[in-house]
Amino acid sequence: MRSVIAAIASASCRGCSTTDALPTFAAPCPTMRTRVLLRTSALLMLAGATPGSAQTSSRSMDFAFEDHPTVRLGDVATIEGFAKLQLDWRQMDRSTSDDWDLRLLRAGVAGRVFKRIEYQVERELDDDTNAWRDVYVDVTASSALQVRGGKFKVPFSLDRLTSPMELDFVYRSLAASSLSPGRDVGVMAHGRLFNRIVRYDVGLFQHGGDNVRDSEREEDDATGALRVTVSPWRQARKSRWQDLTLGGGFTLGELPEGLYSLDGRTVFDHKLFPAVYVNGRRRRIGGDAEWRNGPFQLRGEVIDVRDDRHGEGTDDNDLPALHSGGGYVSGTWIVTGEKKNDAIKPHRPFPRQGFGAVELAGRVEWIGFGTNDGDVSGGPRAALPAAQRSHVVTLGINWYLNRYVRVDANVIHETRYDGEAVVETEQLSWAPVIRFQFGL
Amino acid sequence: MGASHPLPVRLVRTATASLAVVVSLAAMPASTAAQTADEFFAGQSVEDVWVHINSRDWETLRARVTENTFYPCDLQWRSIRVYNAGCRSRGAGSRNPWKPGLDVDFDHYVTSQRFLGLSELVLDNMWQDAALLQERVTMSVFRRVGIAAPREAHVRLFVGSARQFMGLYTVVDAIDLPFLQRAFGVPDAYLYEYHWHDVYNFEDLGNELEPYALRFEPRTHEHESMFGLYSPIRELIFAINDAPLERIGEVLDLPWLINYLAVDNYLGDWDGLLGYAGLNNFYLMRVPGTPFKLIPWDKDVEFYDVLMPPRHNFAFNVLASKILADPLASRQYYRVLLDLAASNQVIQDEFEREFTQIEAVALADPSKRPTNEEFETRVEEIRSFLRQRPAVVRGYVNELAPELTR
Repeated sequence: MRSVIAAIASASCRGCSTTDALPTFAAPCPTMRTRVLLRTSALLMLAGATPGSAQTSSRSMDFAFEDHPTVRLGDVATIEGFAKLQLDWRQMDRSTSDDWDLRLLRAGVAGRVFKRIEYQVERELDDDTNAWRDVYVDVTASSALQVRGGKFKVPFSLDRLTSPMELDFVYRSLAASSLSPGRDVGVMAHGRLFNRIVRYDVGLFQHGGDNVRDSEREEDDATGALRVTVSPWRQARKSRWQDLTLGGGFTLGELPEGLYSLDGRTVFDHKLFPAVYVNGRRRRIGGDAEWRNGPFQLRGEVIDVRDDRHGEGTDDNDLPALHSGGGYVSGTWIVTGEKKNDAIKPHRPFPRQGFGAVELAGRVEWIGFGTNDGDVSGGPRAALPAAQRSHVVTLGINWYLNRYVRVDANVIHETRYDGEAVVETEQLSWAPVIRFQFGL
Repeated sequence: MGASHPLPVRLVRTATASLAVVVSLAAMPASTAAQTADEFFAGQSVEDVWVHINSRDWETLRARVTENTFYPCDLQWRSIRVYNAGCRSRGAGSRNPWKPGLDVDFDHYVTSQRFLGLSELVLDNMWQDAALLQERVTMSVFRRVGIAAPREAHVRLFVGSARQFMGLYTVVDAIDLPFLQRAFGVPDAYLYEYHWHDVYNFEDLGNELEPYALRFEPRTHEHESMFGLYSPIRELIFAINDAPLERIGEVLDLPWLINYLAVDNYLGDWDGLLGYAGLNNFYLMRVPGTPFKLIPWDKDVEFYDVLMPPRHNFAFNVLASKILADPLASRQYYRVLLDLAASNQVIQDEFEREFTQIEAVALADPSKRPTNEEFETRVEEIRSFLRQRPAVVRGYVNELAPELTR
């Protein structure tokens, strides 16, 4: 097993030796930071690191290693450091060789000040254009009212709001990836009501999120968002429906004039939605459900987006709103018996106590743009843009070695449609993807 | 086939064949779409064409007139409206923001979309044509001698939801696959647009294919290899430079070329095949297994030099000088010039017919480059050219090949 760990650590560094004249693969080359984290990952696995394994204390300042390395400044503040790494191997199509992709490399701090103020600062270390991710302060008046300000995820879409480290599949669903707003700067009120049965988030954001086309972010496109979730049986301790949560969300934002329709893409990041002129408002509506029972989880979500096209016809006439939509249904089962929750903690962490936890997962999803009905056409000012759709089936196995390290293997089958016709692509019928993930 | 016969026999046969093409095209049972396209280009009156384009796109197109960016547009003629075509600014020296020339690509956004069977249509602003009819008259002369040339008709162009009158334009049959199908009856061929790069007169360009690619832009088979696209052109240029005329005739349709040169010369074109700056304004086409043919394009600088001699600029061009040096080929060239002189009245009639048709619209054109006085002056100049040209040409030919004028 040590050889496996060594392979994980060394694989990411293959071709990056300073003595190598040329890298042996074209993926983003893990930097020195990556290598340090990978080696730390390997060391933690070998050590079977456990919480609280390093602790110093003094009256005014404590250092603890619980879930994260944490500094406590008496009762005044806590500072937790964290790091995230995701490195993917994938084989997309027949014509290109396999590919390594440093998907995520982040570090940050989070904590609490004077008990009522929480904060988080997170930075992507491998992205100079949009480096700052969550940077916010959250003030708690009561459990029913908290106010958050800064940059953070617009509250829309269950899958989008799930941390990348806690996804059940290597890739987030297409609907969440392409149709949700992502992060933005704003202010949000949120809280829990009725014994935590209801949770709400309502916010106002500067733009339409960082998931829209780059050029749109330059424009004045303030967006409001509302999300409400209900867990009707949360207080029924012995009910199998205790962990059933139903959610719904809505966003409404200004949409500047231009080629700013949503940038829908395929699983492997090929362009799916053509750019279309829009103008007016963008409305998203979404619904989701999640049910967990022991080692099982079922999830589903649908998202519908409508973009106004005021004055965008060839006669300066209004065009019908542009319709985009998508959704998914997924299921997971932890075969080693652990209870399914956001952060899986193996009963027998690898390598000291056992093999870790193993989970099987499957998902069916779809995303689409335009329509197949009526006098459809092409072009950025078409009244009824011809449909572009993608249907995807993903099967996976997730191996949680311990609380820090996880390996996910997925095979992905994607079918693209142009109108009613299947688009021939070079993509493998079942494309394999393996993710190596480390979180501290 | 024809390559095995001596040149004079081929000249006669090709002239006959050209006539047969013209006759057969006229007699060919046409589809409904072709009949409608024929009607569109019939030129019996100045029709209205309306380009529907978003006002923001129109502003941008005019502001960035030198760019080839496509904008979505609809084209309407009578009750036919084709939606979601691509419109872009076009032209070289004629590009301007006041009266933009437009290229309408019907299948730019919608695969295989057609307008009356056409995949592309040019809306020519005639910016450099002070009489606003030179090109249309010229193309009709090319067709008279059996050379496939784009059909043209004058239209009043309206743009935008406010139906702004942009002026007098000509609609021009784009040279593309539907054109080749109509003019030559071939579903596919290699087609290249000649781009002026420098003063070039068919000199040897060497073994590398890049110099050929620089001048000849493929308009069909665009994705074929460099070798597949340009090695036949290289062979043509090698033959022009190294082979006798007999051998050149195997790779280039010489009778066709001689007719082409004669029209250019008769009409006093100073920017054609033997132009002031070398080759210009033509397409080159080839059906595999047959000789290359030239197709005229962008003819808006004719009728200037009424005294242009038959051998004007022949000495500078490798191929033209070989034609001149060949007694049979040069006699055929002079013979076509005499034929054109003999049919000058037809050209004059066509000119007057078109002038009568466009005069009122031309004078009302708010965007045209010439003033009304300049327009009328230029029309008079062309009238004068056409009155004098037959005698001038006969005089020259009488000196060069007196046996033909007896």
